[in-house]
Amino acid sequence: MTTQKKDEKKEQSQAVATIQKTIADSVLARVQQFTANKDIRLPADYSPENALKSAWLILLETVDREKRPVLQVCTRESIANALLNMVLQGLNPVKKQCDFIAYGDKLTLQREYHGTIALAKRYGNVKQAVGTVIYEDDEFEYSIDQSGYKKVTKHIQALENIDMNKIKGAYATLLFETGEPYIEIMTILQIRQAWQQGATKGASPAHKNFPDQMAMKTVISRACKLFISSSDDSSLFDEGDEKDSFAETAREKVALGANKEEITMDIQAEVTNGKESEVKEETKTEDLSELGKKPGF
Amino acid sequence: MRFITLGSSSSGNGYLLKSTSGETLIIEAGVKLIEIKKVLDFDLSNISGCIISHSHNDHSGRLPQYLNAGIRCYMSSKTGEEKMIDLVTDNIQFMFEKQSYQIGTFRVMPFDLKHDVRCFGFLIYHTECGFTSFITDTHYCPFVFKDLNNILIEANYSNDIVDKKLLSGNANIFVRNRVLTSHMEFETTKGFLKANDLSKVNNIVLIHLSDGNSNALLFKREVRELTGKSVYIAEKGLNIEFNKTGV
Repeated sequence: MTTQKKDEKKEQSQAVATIQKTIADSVLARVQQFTANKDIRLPADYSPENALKSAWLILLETVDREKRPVLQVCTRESIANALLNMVLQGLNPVKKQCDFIAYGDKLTLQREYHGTIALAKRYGNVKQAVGTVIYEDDEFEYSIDQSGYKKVTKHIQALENIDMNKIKGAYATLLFETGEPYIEIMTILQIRQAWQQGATKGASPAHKNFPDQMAMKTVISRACKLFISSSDDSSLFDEGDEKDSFAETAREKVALGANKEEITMDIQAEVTNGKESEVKEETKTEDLSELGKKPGF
Repeated sequence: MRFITLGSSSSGNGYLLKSTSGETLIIEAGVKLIEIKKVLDFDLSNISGCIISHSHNDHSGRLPQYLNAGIRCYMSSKTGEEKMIDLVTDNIQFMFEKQSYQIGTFRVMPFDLKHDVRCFGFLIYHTECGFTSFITDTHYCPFVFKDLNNILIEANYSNDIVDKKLLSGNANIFVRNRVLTSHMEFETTKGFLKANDLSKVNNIVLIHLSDGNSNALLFKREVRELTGKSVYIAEKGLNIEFNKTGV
């Protein structure tokens, strides 16, 4: 009886594995077809193959609220869409950039904190995102300039000030390749309100034990979102596109012209060199006789 | 048959195909005659001729010297025109594209390549080395060949190296752009090898590697991995068995 049950379970999980593999493969095939037709452009530093393969492994282990495997519960379409969504955003689940969450029979993709930073870097030209916590007794001052940009003018923190129960707020500093850094500031009240939106309402062990880390994450996410949503897709286009059209044309010429025509030499046939072909040259309008350069006499 | 490299760079190109009887076909006229004399023990009587790809001096600069030595030189009429404004001699034979020419026991058929002047590649046949392709100074080769036994092909530069040099400021964009459409990039070389039926091929010799923009060891290794054939880099002094089969 038990072995039978075991066998059934094994069969089931194998079946699940096969379904998922075919879905992952078909998504990959679709992505490859899109990119080949230039219907979509993926970031140059992103490997859809790797992301899909790892997503497949992660999905095998993912369960819904009732602890049922999502691959059994969720529709094929929603799984395919979640995977495609992941690829189009250029996210990788292994790097914890995104998570798969089942709502009923729909699998959805949720971008995670690391994914938010990755996208801000990729699309928003953000070079680095730094979070800083403000504690009671810190000397903290900031100014707002005419265009509404904030600037931290002073932040002095003594080591003794660091206390998980005395967090006053946090700010994120986004550094760019060029230009002034962008500052986003949140009070602890705002931060806790943001946590209320989450599934655990800010009551998870992580929130309780490491509120400083969670506060930094919250404020960095908020800062990055602005730059992701307001970005254009320019980062998807190689910088060299314009500059290096010469190299591109050279490559296209090779693709169009190389190795096309088969030729062979008939080694049995009589050949026409010597005087005979020189006669031919004259008729072939090589303007040598005019130039007095005709050789061979 | 032996294949001997006298030079394979922009400072002078010259190769010999020397049969067991000693009969020799010279490919390119870019190295001093003395180099040929040294290799042939100062006996030029067995030279059947010299085939020349194009008019640039590293391929044809020693042409007057060869002609004076009584070596019959084969080239396109365009190359002749570009080379020898004042030369009238019996020893020049013009060739037409895709026509065969008997040069001693060698048979040679030229075909047009893609250089910045008219440039011939050659399909060479001899009973010892079989069908041998000679392809140099070209953006790409428009042709594929049947029943090749040996391959001589340009592997001038690699995009990676050229791009790196450009980024580090060690290259001139104009020079680089000229190279890009007049010489064979390594990927194009590999593309040629993939496009041809290599089942009867014995040796592959990579020729005309750029001094600064190539990586001989890497090229050799990659081509060997790609084809599984004996792969050589044409460097001055290379002297190898060059037969239809490896035995």
